[in-house]
Amino acid sequence: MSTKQPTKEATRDGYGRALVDLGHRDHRVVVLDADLSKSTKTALFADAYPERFFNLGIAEANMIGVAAGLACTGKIVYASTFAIFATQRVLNQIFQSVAYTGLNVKICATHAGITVGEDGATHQALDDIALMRAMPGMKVVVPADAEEAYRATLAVAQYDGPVYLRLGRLATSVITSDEEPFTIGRAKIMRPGRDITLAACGFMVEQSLRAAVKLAEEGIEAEVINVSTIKPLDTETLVQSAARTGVVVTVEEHSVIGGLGGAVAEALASHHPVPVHRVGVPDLFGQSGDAADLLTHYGLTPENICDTVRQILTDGKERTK
Amino acid sequence: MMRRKTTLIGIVGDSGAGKSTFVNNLAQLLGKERVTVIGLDDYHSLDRAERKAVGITPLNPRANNLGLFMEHVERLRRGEKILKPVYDHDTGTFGEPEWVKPREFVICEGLHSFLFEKLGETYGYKIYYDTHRDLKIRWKIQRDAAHRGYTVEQVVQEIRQRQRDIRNFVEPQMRHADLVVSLLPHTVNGQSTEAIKVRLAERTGANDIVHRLITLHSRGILPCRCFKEWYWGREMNVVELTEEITPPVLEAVADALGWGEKAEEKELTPYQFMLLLVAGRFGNKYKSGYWEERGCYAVNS
Amino acid sequence: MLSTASSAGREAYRDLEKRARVIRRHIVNMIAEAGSGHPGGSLSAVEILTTLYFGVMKIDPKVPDDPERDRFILSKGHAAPALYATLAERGYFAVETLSSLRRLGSPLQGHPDMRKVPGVEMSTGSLGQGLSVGVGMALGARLDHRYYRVYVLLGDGECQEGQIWEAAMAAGHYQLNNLVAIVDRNGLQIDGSTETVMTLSPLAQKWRAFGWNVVEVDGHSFSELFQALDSVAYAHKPTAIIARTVKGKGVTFMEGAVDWHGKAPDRKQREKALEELGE
Repeated sequence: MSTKQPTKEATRDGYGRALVDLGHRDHRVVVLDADLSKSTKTALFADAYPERFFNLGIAEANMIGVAAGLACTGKIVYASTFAIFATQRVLNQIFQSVAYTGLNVKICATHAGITVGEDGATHQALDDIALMRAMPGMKVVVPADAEEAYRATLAVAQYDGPVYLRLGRLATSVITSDEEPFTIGRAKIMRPGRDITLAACGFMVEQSLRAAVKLAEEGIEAEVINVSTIKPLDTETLVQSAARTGVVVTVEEHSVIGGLGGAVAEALASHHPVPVHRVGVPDLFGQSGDAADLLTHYGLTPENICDTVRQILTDGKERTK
Repeated sequence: MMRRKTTLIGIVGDSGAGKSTFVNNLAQLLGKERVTVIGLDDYHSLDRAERKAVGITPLNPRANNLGLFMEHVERLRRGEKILKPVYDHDTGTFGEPEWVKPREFVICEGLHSFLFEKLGETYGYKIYYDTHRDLKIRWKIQRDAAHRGYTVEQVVQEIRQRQRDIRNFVEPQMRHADLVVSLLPHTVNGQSTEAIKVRLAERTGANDIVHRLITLHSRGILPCRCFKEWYWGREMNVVELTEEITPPVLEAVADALGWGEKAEEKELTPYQFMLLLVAGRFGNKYKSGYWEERGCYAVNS
Repeated sequence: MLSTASSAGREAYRDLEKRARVIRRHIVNMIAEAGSGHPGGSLSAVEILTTLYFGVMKIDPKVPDDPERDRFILSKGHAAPALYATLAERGYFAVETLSSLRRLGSPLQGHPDMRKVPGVEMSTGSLGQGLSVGVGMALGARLDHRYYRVYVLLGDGECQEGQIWEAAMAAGHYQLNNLVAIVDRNGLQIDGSTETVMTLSPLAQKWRAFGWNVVEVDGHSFSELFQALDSVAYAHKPTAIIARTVKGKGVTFMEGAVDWHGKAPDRKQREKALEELGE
């Protein structure tokens, strides 16, 4: 059903396409939105299956409860809004009505991260992974591109339980292949390397791959892993990589507290302790600006990833002298 | 002239559920010459086209002239004759009214026969006739699929669509019934069979049909299952009849209930036995051998 | 218009009255044995629960997952003892289980858990969430062309939660005539009377303004509760039943006493309560 997009596409676009295909395949699929259907791309589903789409207005807490109620009647519910509203604003509703009950609700949040851009701090979710990850029973999936978002959207329908799917606003390159099926909990080595591990998620996988190309020119072979499921984390793949390279850098469009960096650090501390460095948004609020400018401002660029890697490797050599 | 006392029997149940057959059978057992039957269907206030325009089904009490029905029931109880409206099911319109006079038994059957408290008090006995949805579907398929070319899905869908109205407007009357008769498919190892089992329920503390059956069961005379169940806010004694009733069992039952010395020569289904029990409640003064003359009774037609 | 008392008149509700008494005794015993819990709001909801589970809801405790069943959500989850006692009496699980309330490993959590107790349709506790879930279930029924009803029991204090009104707005918008909200209007919350803490009145007008069919009843009268629930059949909108109740109903020293919102009776108080409730 899916076709490779030659141009750039946002993960939310892959999500929107997937919903339409999913709605055709499975009549149990129901989609909810809170007055952002054009932005979240659920409008595509609403056009195709209006009877199975409910726009609940600007009332996110209610939307989560309605999602839980529909799931109780055997529906596969996709509930969408911006990440900041889909997590922080309704944390207790998700905790009690969705996670504690283990109901079949997929919270699909778009506009996550700093690349929301001009809307500023109130609309930039930088702690959503941390919040969702701390919720027992919640799976946390962060697709790297529109293609993976498409496959992840289909894949989570096969799993009976709550999922948080993190999607972005920004159109980005397609870097994953549609030949492999998406498996929840499986990280994928995108580029092998022996000197350092770059564990990234979301749009930062593309940034990390770019950094790896630059580093290769300098003779540094960085291994890039797409950690598209933050929970459950693919500890095996990460430990094996860490064992080969001896040092890990996590890269995410999220606070350095509690997100991918936190998850990887926790896992490696228990299973294979190596130095873990976290590239992400520092412990600060976001701000308005062009997405590209914000990425530069907060150091989420290939250049900054390269700098971080060089520094780590230099420090490492000095220490061993 | 001395007027004989009239006994009013109210019967409520869904249509297409074998209720009219039940009423016919009951009338037959009581003696047709002693029975007047009036159906609430004749008291529709709107004809088919009007109901369609308003968007309600006959299951909605508002589609029926319950005021006139109430008045007529009261007149019949007093022994007066009534000018009963006539509704033609084939055309969905009204015909000319006809005079009806009460006999010894007046059976008032319909979807809302004891909706009003006042109506409820008028009857001598109230029966809620309840047919399991699976049976309704089975019968309707046999009828409609055979003669009208409907698909099974269409039949199931049509019956499901009635469920809301049945539940809203018909079933709550169960809480006024003296006796609830339920027909259910008899399942063996989870598989539904052709056979029908019958449940009879009356409120705990009532000393009527069910109470007597429980006594017979406890004395080892009647094979059945006895339990308690809640029906619309009332705790009911329930007797479930699954097995066929053999002549010796029937003999013993008839003897215990004072029906007379002789009952039937052959085995009775739970449904037939139920009919005898209900009719027997009113007819135990009749002479022995009464039942066998009436032959066998179909469940639906 | 409908008759609701049976032809047996006053006798009509004797079975329900008896059951309500049994449930109240369970509540007192359970909370006393657990040493904690919420007697006030449990006792105020007994007639409401009894009417629903023994009188109105289409349910079969032997088939708790029947897709056609009516659903009940205890949005005011702290009245869990009342729900547990009702479910046990109705036959969902053994009455003996009730004494394990709030113990480690017991299915009977302090607030209801749908994954642990048969018959519990939704996990609740944090207030304000049940009505939204009810809206979801009612929409699910509509999608599936099923005709079950969804009943949600709300506390009156709970109506101070904003999410209740989000859900009320959605139910009105979708004209969910298969949804019934019942407000246990006992007039008290932890810190005092609802009108002192945060004014709820005029509560009926609020619901009406959100597009609901509103009925006010005496929440301890079976006759009035039945009539209100019968009226749902004729509604083209969701129905809100505002049930005026007495917190702690049935135990004189708990009645209308705000202190008994979340306190367990000691041995003497338990005996006195049981004595008052009678067999």
